[in-house]
Amino acid sequence: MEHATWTGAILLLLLGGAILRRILCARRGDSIFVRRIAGLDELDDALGRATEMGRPIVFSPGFGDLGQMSTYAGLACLEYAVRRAARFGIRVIVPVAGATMFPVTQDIVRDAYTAEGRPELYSPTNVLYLSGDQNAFAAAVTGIMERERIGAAFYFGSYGFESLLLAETGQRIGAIQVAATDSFFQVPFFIAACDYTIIGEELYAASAYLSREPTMLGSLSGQDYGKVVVGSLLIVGVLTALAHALLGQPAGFNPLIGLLGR
Amino acid sequence: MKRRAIIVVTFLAGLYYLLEFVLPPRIGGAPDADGAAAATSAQIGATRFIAYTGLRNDGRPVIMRVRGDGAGPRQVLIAPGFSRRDDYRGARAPQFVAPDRLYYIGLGWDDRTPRVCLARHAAGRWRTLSRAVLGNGLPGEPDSSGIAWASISRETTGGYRMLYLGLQGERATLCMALSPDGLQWTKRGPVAAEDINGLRPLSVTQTGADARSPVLLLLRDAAGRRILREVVLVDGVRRLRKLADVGLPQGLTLQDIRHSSPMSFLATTEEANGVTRVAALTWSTRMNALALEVTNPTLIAPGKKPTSTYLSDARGTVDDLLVVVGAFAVGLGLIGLAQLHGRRLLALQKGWPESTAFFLAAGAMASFTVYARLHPDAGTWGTRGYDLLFYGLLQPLGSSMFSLLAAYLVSAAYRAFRVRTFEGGLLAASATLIMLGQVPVGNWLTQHLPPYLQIPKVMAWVLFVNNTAVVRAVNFGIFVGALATAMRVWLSMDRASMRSVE
Amino acid sequence: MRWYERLQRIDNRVLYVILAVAVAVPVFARLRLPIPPTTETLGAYDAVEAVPPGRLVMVQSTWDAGTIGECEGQCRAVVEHLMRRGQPFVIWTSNPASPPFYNRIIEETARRHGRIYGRDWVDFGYKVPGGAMAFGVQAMARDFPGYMKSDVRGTPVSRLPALARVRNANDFDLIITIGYNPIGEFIQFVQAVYGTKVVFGIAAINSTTTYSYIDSKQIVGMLVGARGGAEYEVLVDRAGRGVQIIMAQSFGHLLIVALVVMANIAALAQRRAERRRSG
Repeated sequence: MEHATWTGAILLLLLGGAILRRILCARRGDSIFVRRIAGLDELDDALGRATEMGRPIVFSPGFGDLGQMSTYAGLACLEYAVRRAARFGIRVIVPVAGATMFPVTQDIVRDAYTAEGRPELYSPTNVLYLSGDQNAFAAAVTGIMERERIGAAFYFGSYGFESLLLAETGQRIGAIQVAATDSFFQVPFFIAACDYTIIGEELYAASAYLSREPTMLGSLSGQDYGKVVVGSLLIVGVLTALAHALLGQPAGFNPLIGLLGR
Repeated sequence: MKRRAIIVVTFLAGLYYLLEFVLPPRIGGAPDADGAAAATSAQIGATRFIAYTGLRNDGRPVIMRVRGDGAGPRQVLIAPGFSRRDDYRGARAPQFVAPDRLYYIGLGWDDRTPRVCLARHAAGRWRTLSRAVLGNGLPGEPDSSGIAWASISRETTGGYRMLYLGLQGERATLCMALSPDGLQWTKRGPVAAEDINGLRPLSVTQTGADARSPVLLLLRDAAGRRILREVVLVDGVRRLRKLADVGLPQGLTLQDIRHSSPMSFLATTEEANGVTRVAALTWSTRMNALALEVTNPTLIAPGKKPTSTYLSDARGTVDDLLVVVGAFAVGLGLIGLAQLHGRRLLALQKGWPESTAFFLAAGAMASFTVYARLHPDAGTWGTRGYDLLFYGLLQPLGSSMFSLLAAYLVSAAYRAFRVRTFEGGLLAASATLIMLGQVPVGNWLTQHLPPYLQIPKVMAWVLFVNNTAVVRAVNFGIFVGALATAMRVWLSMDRASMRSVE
Repeated sequence: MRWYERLQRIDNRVLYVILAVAVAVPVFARLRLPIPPTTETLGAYDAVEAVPPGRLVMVQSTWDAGTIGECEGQCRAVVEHLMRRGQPFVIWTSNPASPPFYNRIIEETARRHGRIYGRDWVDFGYKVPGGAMAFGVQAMARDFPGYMKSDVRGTPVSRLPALARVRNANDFDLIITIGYNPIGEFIQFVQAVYGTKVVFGIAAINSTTTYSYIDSKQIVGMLVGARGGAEYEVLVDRAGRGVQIIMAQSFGHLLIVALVVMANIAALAQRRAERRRSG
């Protein structure tokens, strides 16, 4: 739609309002529970294994650019992963596909090392701007993975068909792989080739889960509140449609559907 | 200072897009701000009223009412109902049929299909029936796409006769339907009319209750000229015989015409800018031939114009600004790479041959591409070099990488689909089903089984039912998550986005 | 190593060789199986059939060498159908590599049906960059001649006979997009606003999320990967690359199913053997 319908505007306000309110509550100090997300717990194990093997890790924040929300979620997880890797003293290779992401990613990695008191571990060659072309990006990353014999690979962000190329290469060299993507089409490939896969919205939850930052946690909680609102609407809609069908209404038209379409 | 400026600009840009999306482009104004069309008149009590279609470019057409002289307050008579399927998207082209009926064309929920609907006057109010009284036909019939216009008359015998324009795509066909009570209609099919090949009917209006009363057909030829033809029903009402062509007022482009009283008509006139008005016409003669003359060219003019919010007007400019800002990033990656590889090359560090290759490849590709863009038909070494590098090297390399997926898929599936748990078994079974269903082999293997066991049918059920539900559920979560992240970035609350500021 | 362990640890290279042989066999042996059309392909076919004579169709083609396997058959069949019916269409792309691929198909089909450029089809070439699709589609839907301005040969829109009366999306009866990804912007900014019918021709992997669009009637039909192209070719009676590719794909899928079954049988045998040994 070019402009919001009444329903769209109201839903946007409800969802946005819920998110903002929970962010403010979290910043005020309210405690927010986030359930365990299996794949994220394995992050530390994977880093530990890579340390034992003495091999570097690859953390790819996806093929998207700064215009995609999944990239921000991936970058938030990147900071966590780099800080953890800094404690273990292992090298993190960050291949990047977008030119606009390159300086942002460099800053995140450098600051993460500095925050852990290990600025000497940072090297400009850790963050590699490779290519905006999927084929070239996949070829470059798989080459890096093979040459460096990485111990672990993390794929957090948006992906295209290169997901299977990366994951299968990692599988072949024996790396532990954790993937988190909102790219629905690539989830089956990651499930088949990675050790742990985080699907869809859990990528956005991952940044909150790992960082435990009030804004992130509040945002996550607000999303759930918003979903409760829409979920209730779904249930009401299903019940009214069912009632219409069972009562054999002559109009044959669910007023709730009509209202939502306005 | 820089940080604050960027935060403010980010917020203002996001606020603009949010308001541009949420607020309508124009606010206020009358429901008939963009045109008045398709009018009908009737005596209700002591007063004569006109009902007409009020048009808004940014809204649904409604039926409005005004006094018979076109003056006085206007009110909405029938607005599209959110609980009614058949006029959900608009109500237009009303016709009063005495004493208490208003037939109109409702635009339905489903693809805006036009159907004939009815409102009845009782206890001082007009109440619409919940369903249309006459709908579109089956595929292949002349009214399969709906009914664009209807003229109903109450016969002297008490029944009702409807002449209507059935739509089949773009083609309009004159058809007839009969009813004993005006509620249950029986279609009689197309009505053959003489000499209208190549002419598109725009409207039809009956001038009397008798089946032998003249009918006026407004037609449009291929050049857009209007022709008004007086015809009469013959042969058991399956054929229209032409009586005469009626002269039209000069300088007016008519969209439709409806009989109002024995000597007068209400017509919709269209201006060059597309705005429509209702005009009053009357019978006259012109050079001994029947004609219609204008008595009032602007009986009903469009209503009060809405006010623009200017947000949508500025959208093109704002979008262009953002594209320009984004264009500054084009060189960013190239400069960064050149710095990195340049340092390596100059210092002859490890990997300097690869850095040389980078400069050679980037330089060659850029040069040949620029040359080919500037001289696309040159046929020289420049364009041949471009073809070699782009179509001969880059594209096949891309295809090769893409084709690796097939091989990797085999090894991934072979390794991953080991049934160790119930969920694993379900995964393997559904993957097998979908794989076989996507190719003709699945159909060949199970074509002799009952339909509910045939692989393509089962696959279709899985994809349309299960898969759709799961995709919607997962997508909904993704969208909400993306909305939350977008809000954080807009309000500069997101740490990752703030890195670019710090 | 026991047989069940060997079967579970086949070297990937062996698998790749078997795959290459499996997909080559139907190509050389010219094997054919019946290809009945599915609901979504029939929806696409019927949508083209329902376009009234003389009304315009918009085709957006973004496939190139990487996606030629899935999309070439779709493009061939759609262009064949449009040109056979004499349905004028415009074609444009958001992938600069796409024009040579679709032009090859259009020129060959036009020669066969005696179609004339400018009257029966118009090529606008690379018009809207992928990143600006939302802007481009909205602008073109609002004011097609104003946004497109001229075709790939530089001829102004006003001088092209096929586009003499085109103003906006209302003047197109159908939009067909053929490429790897579904172009959701057509649903958002054209179908939802103007009611124009939309058909997707996309890669099979991307079709899983677009079945919901069929269910909600936001698209009227869909060509799913190589299968969709093959089905459409059969419907227009012009079996070609699509049919060839789907036959090769059939053997590839059969191979995968066979390997999965074999590996699971071996795994089951191993579990039984271990249970016998332990107890």
